[in-house]
Amino acid sequence: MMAVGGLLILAGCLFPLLVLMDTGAAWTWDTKTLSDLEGAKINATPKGNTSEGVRLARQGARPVSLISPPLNLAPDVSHIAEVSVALPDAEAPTRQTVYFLWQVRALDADGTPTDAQAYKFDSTQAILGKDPAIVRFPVTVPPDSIHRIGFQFPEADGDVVIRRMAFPSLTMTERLAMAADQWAGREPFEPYSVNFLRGPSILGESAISVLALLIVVAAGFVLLMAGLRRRRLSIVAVIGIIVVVWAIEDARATRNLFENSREEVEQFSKLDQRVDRWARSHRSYEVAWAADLLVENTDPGMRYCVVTNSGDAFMIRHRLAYLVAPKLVETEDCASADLIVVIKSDGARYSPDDQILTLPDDTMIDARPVAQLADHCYILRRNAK
Amino acid sequence: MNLWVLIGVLAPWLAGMAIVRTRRAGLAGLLLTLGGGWLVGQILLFLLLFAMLRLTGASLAGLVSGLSLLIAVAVTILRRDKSASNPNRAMSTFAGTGRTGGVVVVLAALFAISLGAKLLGIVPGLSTVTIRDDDATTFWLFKAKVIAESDHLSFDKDDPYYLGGANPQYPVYLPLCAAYLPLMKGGWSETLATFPWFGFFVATPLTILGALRLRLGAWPPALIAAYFVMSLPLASVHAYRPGYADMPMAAFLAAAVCFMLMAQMSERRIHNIVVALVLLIGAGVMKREGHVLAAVVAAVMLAPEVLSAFRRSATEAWRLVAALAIAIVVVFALVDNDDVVSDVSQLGWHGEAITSLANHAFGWASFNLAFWLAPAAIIVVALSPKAVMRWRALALTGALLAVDVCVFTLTKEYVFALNDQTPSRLFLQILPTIIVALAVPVTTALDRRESSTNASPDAGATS
Repeated sequence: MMAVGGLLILAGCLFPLLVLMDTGAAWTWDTKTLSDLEGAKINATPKGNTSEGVRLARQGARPVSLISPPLNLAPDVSHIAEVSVALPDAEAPTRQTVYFLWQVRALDADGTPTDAQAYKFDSTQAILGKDPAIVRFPVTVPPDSIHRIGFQFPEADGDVVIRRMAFPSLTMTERLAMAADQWAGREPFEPYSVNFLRGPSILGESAISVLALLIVVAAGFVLLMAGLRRRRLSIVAVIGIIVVVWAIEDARATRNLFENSREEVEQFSKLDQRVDRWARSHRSYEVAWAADLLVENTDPGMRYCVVTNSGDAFMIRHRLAYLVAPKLVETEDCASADLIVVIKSDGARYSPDDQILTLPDDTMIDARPVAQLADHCYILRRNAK
Repeated sequence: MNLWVLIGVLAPWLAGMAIVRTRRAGLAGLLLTLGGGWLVGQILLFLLLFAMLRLTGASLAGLVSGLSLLIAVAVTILRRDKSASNPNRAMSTFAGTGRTGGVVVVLAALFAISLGAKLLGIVPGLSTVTIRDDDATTFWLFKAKVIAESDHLSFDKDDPYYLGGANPQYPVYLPLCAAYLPLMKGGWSETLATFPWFGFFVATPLTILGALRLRLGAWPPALIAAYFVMSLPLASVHAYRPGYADMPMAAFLAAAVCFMLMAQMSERRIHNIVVALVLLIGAGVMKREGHVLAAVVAAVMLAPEVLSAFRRSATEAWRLVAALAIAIVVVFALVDNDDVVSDVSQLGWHGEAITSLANHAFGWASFNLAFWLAPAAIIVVALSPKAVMRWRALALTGALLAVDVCVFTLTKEYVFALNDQTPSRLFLQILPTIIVALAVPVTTALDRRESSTNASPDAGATS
């Protein structure tokens, strides 16, 4: 019994120690000039070089993101990814969400890496401002399996300057501090959080598996003590350990829930207008604006169609349908709709002089303007024939 | 709070409590009545609302409340002499050792503090933040809003708002629960529409706590199991961001097992089994896959009851068979089975989903340590021949997990494992039931071992 207990303690302690000691090799990609971005995927408009790095401007409503060229990392590369980023237009440093994206290597028939795999992502919150900040993420897959990495800044309104992306080789002290930060850090509630909670990742290892290991170590200790005292293993003690470790994680998760709730409630309680609340909860001011207008100014039973070809078309159509139902009825056939809502459609063109809306498939509809939010967002009413 | 809304909250709950009430069972009986009453009340509610909308074309929500109150009064009167049974047949010696007073206080405090802290996050969110999740706005609460604002449920397939609109394959019963309080208020309110999720979140652990305390005769294992269920992190998120059907379905499944546990020890066996069947109807019609999981629970938990009933009394056995048949007919009358049939008719192996499932179960934090502890619990139970309900708990655990694994490795639903959309939500549906089912054999297995160490008398439990 003592031997088993000792072995459990040894195995349980050895694993975290090895993770802590495994500083890994460093890899860096400097993005100081436009030429450094060759092979990268840039969801932004490069505006030129600064002393800190390339300045990237937002393309319309799309968040700025930069994805590395294909990588060929060694297996011993560090399990931590970082980005050095600044927001030159920021008036003051603010807490913002940052996404870390990665794509696992997929090979085509010739064995050449392809971009076939979907991107996985993780998010965190960091204080970003004019001065460069370093944002770090744990890497939960073997680095040598990664094809590309990238970072996205969904809440950055102005330009973004990215100086470098790296897998840094940190000292043990730095890694210990980072482990503590990762445990204590908040996991922001994202739209997908209702599907799963990722939880903290301690230096690339799942915190839940670390806690499971903690149970093994504690049980080993109890076993050892029982052996030393020549008594049988106390089941109550083992159950006590399990409950305590569960409660530790429960406390973290509950704090995470509470902090997310506090922030979200604060944000919403400041929003007096219905349209602003809808815009925040449905992640689109255009949808909120159109819904507010349709609910207030239309007759029950009218049919409307949505013209959009943005990447968020599904979200735009369904959120609008929820907000205006059951007063209005959505139809896919714009030629028979009473109202036409155009939100972010590259192909749709409206001529106010002729009162003709030309749809992306070149269908022409005789319609008069009702309201316009911006060039890409307006509502028309079909003219009776 | 608007008086009509208050009546709306209380009426189905009182009816549910009248139905499940367990008298002379102390605090545990009260908890079971409060929690189980809420859950049964919600099923009664959506059945009444559905019937009303079907028969009259309008919800007549006030009448539904009145009928609920009438049911509460009628059941109370009818059961006033029959509910004097004493279900306190203890199976565990934990309560009798006299050493657990402090443990109970600590565990009860842990349970209460954790629940209270979660509600401090959940309640302000429900009352301030508007609905914001995809399936909630696209399906579940979309239907609820259509029903509540139009006070009508269309049964015309050509109507764009047929069965509340959106995808008609998504059952309308949860949206009916959500639409009910806004109907009582007289207008759409997201806070009122999402109130049932708050109820499900609180009622489930109370039901489990009460039922396991009565079944096991001890507070500590009941408190631990209820605490584990209540503190599954994803359950809190579903209460905080309401509008999905997974947590309500989990609540009905777990509560059904709770009442089947009660049936094993109570003189009111048939009554408790019927309550369990009502809860399985609730689970069965909640989501497209609900009836599959409800059938698994019914098959594993109920089949032995029916077989043993035949050995005791043919009348009782036939009553059980009739109740089961009625439940099956009701579920199949109320649900659209096309999606499940479509999935099952296109089977194929999708092993690539396994990594994602493992990640959701063991790597991420949706379920605290539940999936790490489950194998240990299964081993303990499997190696303890005298553990009560040993095979039933193992079979139920194995079957429920197998259903989820098969959904993602054998059907076209595997894409939702690869994009991480649904594995954790499907696990959430079954984990509370697994925790409840394993609590009984684990407790008795460990209890017997502890008892033998302390040379205390055997608990005298039956297997």
